[in-house]
Amino acid sequence: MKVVIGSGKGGTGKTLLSTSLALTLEYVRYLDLDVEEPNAHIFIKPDIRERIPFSIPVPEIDFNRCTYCGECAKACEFGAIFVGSNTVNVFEKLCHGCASCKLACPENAISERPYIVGEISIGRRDKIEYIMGYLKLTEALSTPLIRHIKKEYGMVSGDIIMDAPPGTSCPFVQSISDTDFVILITEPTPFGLSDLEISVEIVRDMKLKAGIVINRADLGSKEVKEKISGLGLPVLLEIPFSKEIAVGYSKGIPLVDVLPEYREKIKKLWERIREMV
Amino acid sequence: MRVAVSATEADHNVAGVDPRFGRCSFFAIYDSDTGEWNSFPNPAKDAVGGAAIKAVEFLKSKNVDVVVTGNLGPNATSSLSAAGIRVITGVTGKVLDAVKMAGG
Repeated sequence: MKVVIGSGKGGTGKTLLSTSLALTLEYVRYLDLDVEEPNAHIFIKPDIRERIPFSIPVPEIDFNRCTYCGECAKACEFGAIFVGSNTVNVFEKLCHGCASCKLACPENAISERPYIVGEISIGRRDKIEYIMGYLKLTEALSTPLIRHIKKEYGMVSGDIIMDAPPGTSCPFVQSISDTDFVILITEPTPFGLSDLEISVEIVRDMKLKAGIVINRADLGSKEVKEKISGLGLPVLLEIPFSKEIAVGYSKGIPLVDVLPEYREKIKKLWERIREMV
Repeated sequence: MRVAVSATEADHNVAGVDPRFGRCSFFAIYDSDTGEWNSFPNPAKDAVGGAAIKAVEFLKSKNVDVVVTGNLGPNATSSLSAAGIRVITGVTGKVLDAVKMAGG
């Protein structure tokens, strides 16, 4: 079963919940897809045995062939190529590595070279297989890295837990696609609700099964909570706003070690998801 | 010579110089040979990414020789240089005065 934890709003408890899920279930593979700032390793504490660079193919121009016709720039959806009067600028940070420019070039002047945008770390903690994506600083495109990790490491049978990046744009969509269940974790504040509503809409559009976990559940107004339960998705678990949890989290102590009674609650949550899938 | 100024408004007579280049509201283009003014909404204003590159693409298609603006980022600078378009930066005030700085 492939389960992804997403949120929309950041800081609502994706990593808090996903790491405790992994530590409770034990026999799982954990993918940290929050590649702009992966932090699950702080709680899971895996031994990393391998680090693999990740690159995307970017165009390389053969200036002996190029006629500066501009077809490559026209074909690029992302404005990553600028053709001048006697030079061509390639903006690697805007390139999605789609090769449209290469196909569009009438002179066969474009080849591809790898451009390293990040790194994948592979490790283990007891029975948890741990895989983490890391996007290099100043790089902006996380989607290709997320797609690659899911394709390379997310196609095995057995249970897979994925920590999605915050937000509700392409990286989120990429993270939740082809999963069996989406846990949307939120907090009962207007910001939490606003992003939750967008996330629910996306999950419905993608026809995915989903449920809600409310973190800091005793925070915020009753009105917001009523709206959350009115979204038509089951509320699977509530986690209170507790100083104890926050202090533990700040020291890298997972929820299930701060409050061991959550192991049972999390097991039940997992069983409920299994029934719904 | 064709001079493009990043402008805050469509009417070049009242517009100020927009300090942003890639995401400015309008480009006021002045042709010093004919004395003619043209104003265009910047097609790159709301681009998701790479706005400056798209803006240069647009100015290139309008055969602009000089750009007068407030500030240029690295993508704008390298694209303008590749297009052979000269730049005058750090300009504030009215579009009408800005054009004079380019010798218009």
